[in-house]
Amino acid sequence: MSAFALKATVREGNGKGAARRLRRQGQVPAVLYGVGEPTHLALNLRELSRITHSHGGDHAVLDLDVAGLGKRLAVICDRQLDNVTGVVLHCDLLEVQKGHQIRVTVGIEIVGETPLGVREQGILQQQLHEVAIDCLPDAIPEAILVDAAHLKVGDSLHVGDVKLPKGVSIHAAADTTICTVLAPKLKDTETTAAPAEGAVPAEGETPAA
Amino acid sequence: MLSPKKVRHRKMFKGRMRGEATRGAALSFGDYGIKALSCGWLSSRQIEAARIAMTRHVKRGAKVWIRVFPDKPITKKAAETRMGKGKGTPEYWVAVVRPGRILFEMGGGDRELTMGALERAAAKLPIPVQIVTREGMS
Repeated sequence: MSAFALKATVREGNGKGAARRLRRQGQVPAVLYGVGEPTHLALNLRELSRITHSHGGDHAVLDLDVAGLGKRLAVICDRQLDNVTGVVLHCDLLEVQKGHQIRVTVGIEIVGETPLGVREQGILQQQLHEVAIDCLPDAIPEAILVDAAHLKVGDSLHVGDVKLPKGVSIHAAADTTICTVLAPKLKDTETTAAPAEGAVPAEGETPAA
Repeated sequence: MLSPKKVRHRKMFKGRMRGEATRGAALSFGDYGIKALSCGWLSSRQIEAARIAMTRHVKRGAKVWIRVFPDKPITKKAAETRMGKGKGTPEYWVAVVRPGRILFEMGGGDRELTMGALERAAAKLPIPVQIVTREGMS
């Protein structure tokens, strides 16, 4: 995956006041660390969102052009999002060096034909949505692709079954389940166990059935 | 309908709903979900109505997760009762919801069907909500 170009500036003030002033100007406070001393940066929110919303962009290598510091390579290590709006509040950037292995979290995508079990009314449940991988910065895949076409009802796909791109190793146990085809429900559970209206269990006791 | 099996205290103070959700604010199980945009109480009946709306629309073609649980008892005084004489009797259960909270999640179904189900479920809820997707939250 090619590196995304992103401009950044070194920010002066620290703390919530300065951070809020930056956010009001359409910028995102960020910190760059990993090589040498940590540097406080300000990124353009629109440019950052464009990168993170692109396919595989949230773990892509960023070609940072920091005003006054020059060019740096970094990956997004962590992001703090607003829980209601989803806007990026803060960004942690991990500086990387060419030729040095890094650990990044990459999404898992199920590709291929509809699994056999799903054709028999089963439900494909993905349990693992992302996984940490070790690889070189220029070999980060957009996503780990897994083919679940052969799964029958009750079958599971595990981390050990995944065919990885060259130079990539998964940092997870081989028996970790990625997805399962669940058996179809015979009868819909329309209502869960319904206690009588207004029935309140006594304090510290289990109510009578 | 959902209600606790065991409680320590039968009656509870009304409480205040300040701030935003800090936990349960991200999709954890499915690919699609309903996110609360304001605070409020969701009664066990409303949660159940939303669940039924979803499961009936997808006809067992997807999996549903309920991410809130009504564990707060709400009391009510009997009709035509004078004020005083103590707190009323527990009437129903609610889940306290703050903005940002994921209320329901769905996965395993195709996109159009799941979105339709979530829209129907959203219509059963007393607070403004938003349908969110896993790729939209990244």
